[in-house]
Amino acid sequence: MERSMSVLQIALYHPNQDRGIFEDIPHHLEHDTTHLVIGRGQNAHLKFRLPGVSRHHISLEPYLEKGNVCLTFCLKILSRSSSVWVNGLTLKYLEQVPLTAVSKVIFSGVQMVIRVEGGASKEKFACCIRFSCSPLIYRAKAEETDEYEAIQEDPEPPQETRELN
Amino acid sequence: MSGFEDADTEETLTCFQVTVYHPNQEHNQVFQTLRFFNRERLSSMEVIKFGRSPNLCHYTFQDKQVSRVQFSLQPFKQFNSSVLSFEIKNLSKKTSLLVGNIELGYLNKMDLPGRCIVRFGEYQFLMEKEDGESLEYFETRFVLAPRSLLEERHYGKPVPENGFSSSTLPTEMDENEY
Repeated sequence: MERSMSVLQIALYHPNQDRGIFEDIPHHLEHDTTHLVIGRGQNAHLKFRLPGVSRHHISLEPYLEKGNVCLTFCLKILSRSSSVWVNGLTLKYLEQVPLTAVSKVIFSGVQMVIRVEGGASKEKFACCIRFSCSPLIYRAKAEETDEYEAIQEDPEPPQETRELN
Repeated sequence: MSGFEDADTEETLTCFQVTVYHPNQEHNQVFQTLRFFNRERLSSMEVIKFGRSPNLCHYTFQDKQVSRVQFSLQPFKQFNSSVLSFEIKNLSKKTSLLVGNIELGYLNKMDLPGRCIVRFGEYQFLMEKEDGESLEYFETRFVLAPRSLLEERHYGKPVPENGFSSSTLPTEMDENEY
């Protein structure tokens, strides 16, 4: 009996998405346990038509934490030139973090929200991709502050954050 | 000379040395595809796979008991670090991977210590990392061990011919202790 797959529910937004930025991205794909590459390149699994996105920008790597039965996913930065904002952290080339149940990611103007639904299969996982008409993530910009105030990244976005159901 | 003076500063590469051993290595030639002592430069974006399949793996073992893809090494950068680190991941459904005393099952992964012994089946690998400046590339180097890595209990300390190391015997003894 085939085991249920883990599913990554991925929502995408870009202010200029009507220019075909997401044209090459399928609504659904299944992938084995090798790395899923997000980028502009020909061999990217989620391909963005956006010059500011590196050919290999981000990878999602499925793995198993010891003692867990469902796949965990590690997000790794492959772009040498751009940083990637993930849940309040700014990551640079070769840095990586595990995805949380819901992860908010911003790179090259693209907003991506990934929701992980666990499944028992260790052979493959699925991605369900939707394109949002409105912004997904609110990230407060640093304003001028007193020199004694620390400027902090906001790990949890404020109430205005809009997420897909 | 102007080319040399104007060229970009070269960064040193992290060297990842793997000393390999298998009890039947001479008879079965399991390591025949490895180029010992050759330094190979690899991109830090690559996932380096080890296994039986030449189509899927960067480094292969000539042994049907080895999985098509046995394990992988993945470079990454830790936060607040300026050098490359490596993860090791078990890609075999059949065989556990022992990293030191830690057992990894299928798809388990862990950070690789700077120096450790990795084992699966009868295969032994002493993996040693020498840090370099570059984040773009690193290099690998393979060495063939003449004897089991597990016999070298101090990971490379020479064992005297009489079988005793100086650390196990006192250098002086009081005659009253007999």
